[in-house]
Amino acid sequence: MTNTRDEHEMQPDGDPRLTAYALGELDEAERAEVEALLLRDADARAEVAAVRETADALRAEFAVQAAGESVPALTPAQRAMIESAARVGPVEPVRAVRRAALVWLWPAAAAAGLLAWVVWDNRAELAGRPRLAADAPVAKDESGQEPAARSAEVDRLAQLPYLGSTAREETAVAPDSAESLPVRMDVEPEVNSGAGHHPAAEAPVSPPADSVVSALEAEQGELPPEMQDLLSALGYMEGGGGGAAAPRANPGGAGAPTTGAAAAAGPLSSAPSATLARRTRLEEEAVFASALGEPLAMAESADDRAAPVFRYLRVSPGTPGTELYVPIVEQGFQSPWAAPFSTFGVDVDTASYSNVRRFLNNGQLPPVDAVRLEELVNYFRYDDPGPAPGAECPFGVTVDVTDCPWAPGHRLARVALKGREVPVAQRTSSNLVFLLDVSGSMSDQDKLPLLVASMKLFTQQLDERDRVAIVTYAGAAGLVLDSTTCDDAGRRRVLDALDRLSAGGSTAGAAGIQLAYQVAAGNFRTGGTNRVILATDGDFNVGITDRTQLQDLIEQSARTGVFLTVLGFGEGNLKDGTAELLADKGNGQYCYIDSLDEGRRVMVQQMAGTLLTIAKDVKLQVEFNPAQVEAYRLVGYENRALAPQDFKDDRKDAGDIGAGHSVVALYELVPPGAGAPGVDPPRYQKPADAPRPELVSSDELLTVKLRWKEPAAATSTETAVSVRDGGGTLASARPDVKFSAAVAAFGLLLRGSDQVTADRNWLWTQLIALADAARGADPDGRRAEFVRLSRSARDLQGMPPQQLTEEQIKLLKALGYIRDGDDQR
Amino acid sequence: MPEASPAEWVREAVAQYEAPLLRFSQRLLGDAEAARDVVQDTFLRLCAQPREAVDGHLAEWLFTVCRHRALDVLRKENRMNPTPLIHDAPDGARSAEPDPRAVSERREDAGRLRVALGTLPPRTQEVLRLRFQEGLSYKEIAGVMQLTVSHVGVLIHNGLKSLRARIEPRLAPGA
Repeated sequence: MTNTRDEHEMQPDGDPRLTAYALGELDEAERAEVEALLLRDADARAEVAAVRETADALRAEFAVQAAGESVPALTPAQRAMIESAARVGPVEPVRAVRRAALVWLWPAAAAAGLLAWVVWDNRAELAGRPRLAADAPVAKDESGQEPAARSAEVDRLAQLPYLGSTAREETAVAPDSAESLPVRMDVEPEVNSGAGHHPAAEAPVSPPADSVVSALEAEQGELPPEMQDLLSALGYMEGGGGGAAAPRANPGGAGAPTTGAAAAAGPLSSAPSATLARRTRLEEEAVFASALGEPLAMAESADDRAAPVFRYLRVSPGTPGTELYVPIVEQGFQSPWAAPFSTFGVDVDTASYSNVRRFLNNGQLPPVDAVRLEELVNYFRYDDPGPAPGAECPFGVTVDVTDCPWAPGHRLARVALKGREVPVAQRTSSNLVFLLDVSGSMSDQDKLPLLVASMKLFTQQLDERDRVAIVTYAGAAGLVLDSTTCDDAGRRRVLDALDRLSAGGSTAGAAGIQLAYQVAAGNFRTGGTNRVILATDGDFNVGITDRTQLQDLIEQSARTGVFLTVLGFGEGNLKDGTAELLADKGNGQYCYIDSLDEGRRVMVQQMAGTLLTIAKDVKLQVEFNPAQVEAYRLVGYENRALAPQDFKDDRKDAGDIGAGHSVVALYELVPPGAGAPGVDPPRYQKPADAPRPELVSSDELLTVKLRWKEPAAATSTETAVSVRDGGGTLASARPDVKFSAAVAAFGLLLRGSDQVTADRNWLWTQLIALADAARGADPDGRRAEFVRLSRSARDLQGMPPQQLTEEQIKLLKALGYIRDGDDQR
Repeated sequence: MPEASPAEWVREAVAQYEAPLLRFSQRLLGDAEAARDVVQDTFLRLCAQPREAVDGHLAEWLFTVCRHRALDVLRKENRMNPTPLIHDAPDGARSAEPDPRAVSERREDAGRLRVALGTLPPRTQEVLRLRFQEGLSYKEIAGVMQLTVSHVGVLIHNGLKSLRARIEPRLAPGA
């Protein structure tokens, strides 16, 4: 059957028109033609009757089958998720930027999703209506015409990145930070532009954007071969999937582009980010299960030759449409009468910020659930004081209380922990296992190549105190390099092994993770750092039943001292919630690496901290004095919340702090008498003037209690700091205090949080002013970048700078943001 | 979101297409759990669509997306071949006979028809199901399967022809 299958499928046996006629599939002209034939041809009449009879028999058969089939139904959790996503409605791919500019923006994205989107979009415009890609099936088996026509289009589009790269510096829409453009770094690594730039706002009038439009509109001929090579190398010419099977430079100019076009027309490419909306705490497991086992796999290269018809799959998952974010429900206000304690585990993840940056650099607002406030705030380096030399507590604890920029009348308490700095020479030995996802979905330029480059940067920091093993998981999950001591020769072997990695095959996540943990356990270093470093796009494909097992494995290993760090790579099908949760379970850190620059930050600057954990299971409990605080709210840390009794429970794990790491938590406080916003008075409790528990007389605002374990300890140590509100203002606060407040405001605005009671436009102005005033030395340029991103985000939210009132100008002057003589910025 | 109630049309789509899509994806995947995930994802993607982008093509859009997701899963699990197109087909006719035109004599043919169906190439079976079980038009099937309309016509034509030949003599006097 297999041999004759194609023939059977392709060659009509008789006249298919008769079948189509019998099934009512012909248009009027064809129908008339067939009816004329039927009048004179008895065989044709018999044929039509037979077709109808067979069709009826088949319908009946299918109906019987359907009646007897056990068809599954969606689970309640799945329905709830769809329901809430439906309420959120479609996510605008780009706001406040016109289409032509949009085409430009996307080259910054991974090649695959980009091309898909652009072609789709373009076709839609040409057709003058929203066009379903499925309308235009491509890679047709028979017609030579379609692919040819399409290849011209793709050629045309393939020009865009090229145009873009020459015009980038002037093109306002272009993300002006090179690190967001991993695929382009080889071409133009140095791209800088002034921090005062307003990318999106200027886009519509910028000439280069127009030239992109004309490029779009002008028919382009074939690309010269060297251009095709370049584009292939950059990943633009291929579907973006596993490079192995895809033709590269194609003299005819048709082959590779057609692949791209086939890919491009996949209807999935049109799906913008699905924002999964609210969920309750109870749904978390369901959400996790769905995120972890998400079968939204990227098509692999290995099978492509065998099944060319499926090639389009390689691209479609590259769109943001398959990224999954766990919904975040912001914490509301609590009364210290009802809940005197706020308890949570620290979080040193920073992934959300790099991910948000990727969206903004692409000219998009991030999905609200991609914005995790604590990760934004903790992304930055703060120079809060560390512990006193010789102190028992491995961190310095600093609390600052100021006004709250997003809620006039409220106070903002900033609790900062700063881990002890440990000189590199004093760090302990380490046993590391790199667990690298080399499945086909990792083959994009912004994934495996970036991963390899980042891991090499990291490896170069290691020395004879460290051991490294490399485990990959893909079709061939296996030990690429057994645990090797990183002396000079060993380090070379690690680097060589990294160089030899290539993407391909499908992901067998569970097997790889198990192997990695085995290797880590087999080389366990007592008193040292034992850590699995998992690098992936998060597109795990573990079986349904493996999900909880995997989570258990990670959790148990963390208890025995093998921790997990998760590095997220690439875009399009990032399973953000999965990665974060795994790192969380594994006492680890989750970072998102969107560029080599970010790779350097995470792997070189922060890894010293990762290599030396100074405290684990770090928990914070803040007790509020009801006499001083009407209500409080923890900003961020939604998924780190702990019950008050968990604070003392040493079995409840929480985040680690590495050497030099800093962790900041912000509390929004309502002063007494202001009334807690959004909270009805309790129905079953007597009004507030009824007798309440007697208070200890104290003018203290709050007490921060900290609990942590030494890296090898099983029991915790505790310390506490009490704080008064000295009435400080942000304008007079330390730069770090200003800056973290600005970052939190940025996150709240991006989330569209209803906790923002200040005028939003004014808050943008204020936070930009705050951040700008607090840039300080900014050795790595992160703070300047933040100021720039804030401006982009504000533009994307459609909030242009406004005329300021006298009072506002006065405040900005107090912040040092504007000086006399300037009117407005 | 031009609609007053953006959730409503999605809800209707779920009500109407949940079962067909689950049936469809379960047949492709052979696994209820995976089928659920795929269908859930299909609807989540639908939520992210502006309504006007799918209006008038809803069935085609849903089946297309659903099929892609299912194939992704298969691909990821490395089990592209053979596609278990017919799964857990019930082994006997049920008492409810939904098609009024089907008469008792059909029942004895039903077994033969089912066997015959199983011998067809997977793609042909899939096309036949989309046409005769889910009621999609040639054009919609072409969209879902990424084929041309005429190719779909040939697949259906040949498929019906083969079926007829296999359940001879009664149904195919001319063959």
